[in-house]
Amino acid sequence: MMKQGDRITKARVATLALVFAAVIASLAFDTGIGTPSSFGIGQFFLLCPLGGIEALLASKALVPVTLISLAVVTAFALLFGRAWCAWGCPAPVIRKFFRRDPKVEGAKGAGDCDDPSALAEEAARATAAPASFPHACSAAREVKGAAASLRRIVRDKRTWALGAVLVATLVAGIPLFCLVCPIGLTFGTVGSLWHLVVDKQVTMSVVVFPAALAVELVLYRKWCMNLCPVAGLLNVFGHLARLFRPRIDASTCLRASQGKPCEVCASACAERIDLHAKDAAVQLGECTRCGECVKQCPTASIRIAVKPAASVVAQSGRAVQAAASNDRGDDKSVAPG
Amino acid sequence: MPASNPTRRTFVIGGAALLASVVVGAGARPFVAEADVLRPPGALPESEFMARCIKCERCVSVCPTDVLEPLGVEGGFMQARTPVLGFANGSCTFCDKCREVCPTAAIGAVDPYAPERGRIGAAILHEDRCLAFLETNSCGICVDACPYEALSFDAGRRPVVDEAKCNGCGECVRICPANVFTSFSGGKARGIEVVTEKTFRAGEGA
Repeated sequence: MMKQGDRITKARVATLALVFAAVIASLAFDTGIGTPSSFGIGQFFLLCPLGGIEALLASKALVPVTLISLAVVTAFALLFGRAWCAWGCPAPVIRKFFRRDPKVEGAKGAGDCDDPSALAEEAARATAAPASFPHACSAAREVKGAAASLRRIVRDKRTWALGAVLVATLVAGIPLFCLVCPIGLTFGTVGSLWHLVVDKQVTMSVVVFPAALAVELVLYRKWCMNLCPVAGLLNVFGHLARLFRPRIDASTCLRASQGKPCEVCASACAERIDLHAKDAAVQLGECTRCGECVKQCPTASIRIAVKPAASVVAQSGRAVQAAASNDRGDDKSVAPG
Repeated sequence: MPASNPTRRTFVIGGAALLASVVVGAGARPFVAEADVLRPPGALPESEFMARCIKCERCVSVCPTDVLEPLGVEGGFMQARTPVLGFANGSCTFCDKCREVCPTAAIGAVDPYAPERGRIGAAILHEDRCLAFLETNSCGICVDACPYEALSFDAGRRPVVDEAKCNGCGECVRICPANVFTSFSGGKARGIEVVTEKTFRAGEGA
């Protein structure tokens, strides 16, 4: 069987290819599927949540169709968080094509635990974590987690970009971000090329759109990390989206089981999420479900888990029992958990 | 160290960002409603249309006659990718599909037989280009083609537009052969053209 990481990569490529195919088919056969800015069949459609909010703010009117499809999109975002960013958005692929992925900034994500003793301690803590949280304080943990998520959202540059975009849109009276959105510009390029070739419509758009894209994604590498207000908006929902998050199997993870300073998963992550950090569950609010950590892990200890988990680093199957009995020394009669 | 105080820093950066976004927004405002282009039938008034259109191009992709096309950047940076009508490929049949698929309701319903309650635009004849004006009895294709009987012949068998019946569907523009027949002398324009209500009124007043 193919490894989960490879399967995810293949599925992502296929999904994005499908998006492009749908956009072109929609132009060719007048089906009206549209572009990711808004797609669907006839009166049943989804629309870009940011575009929808912008349109509502700019027109200062509550448009029923827009509100309904915004509600549906919100439901998706609450389930899958920022999956759009890895599965539908063309920006990462464009950047990768030009080999302009942002550089990994050293061990910034795991700065506070460089010496082996701290690592071992952390490993021990991680191993003990599932057992040391009784159900009674799960509510308190939830509140603490929500506060930490909120702090993280407020500190994120993309949240600020989102705020600036919405204010500017309200003042301008036109969805301003749509003008420079890399997603819109990508499919605008596809559309303008289509109209150039098929309808002989000659416009400068064919040159201007790709040029704008190049400035945003190729010259400036960190669009997705620092500026994208769509990511900023999805982050808000992402912190509540618990499905399909990556989880570490502590029994095989080099770091959790042997205390080795492995940081492969953290450096593979485009969002710079450190799964071993104390606040990993909070950081995972920004997870795009891209599966790179799953793919890159040298011991294949990371899996995308469908259901939400209490802890990011978890023991699995036999390992749980083994670890639990180790914790309690000779007392074999105590049940784990 | 007041400079590194996170609250103060946040406040300063936040204030600057707010100010910058207000300036950008206000700077963009004058350019919003300036385009004088043919919008899909039933489109809201230009400033309201621009407020709602998110440039998703769904209307362009659903249009069965391909009369809708995205405006190029030449038409204005703010207006690029918004839908406009181009009659080189087709004319509008008022099929209503663009209204149906618009996710922000920027396009409303319209009755093609009641142009006074809203229309794409109105046709105007260019007497210097229309073949019937250049040579008597030479052409009258548009009069036969008009689906709304808005075109008729005058005493000299030259086309006349009935402004009250014309809804700007563009069928006359699509089939006008003037650009073909005058191409030897460098003429690319057609003998009849659909212009926006705004331009039409301005032309009437002049």
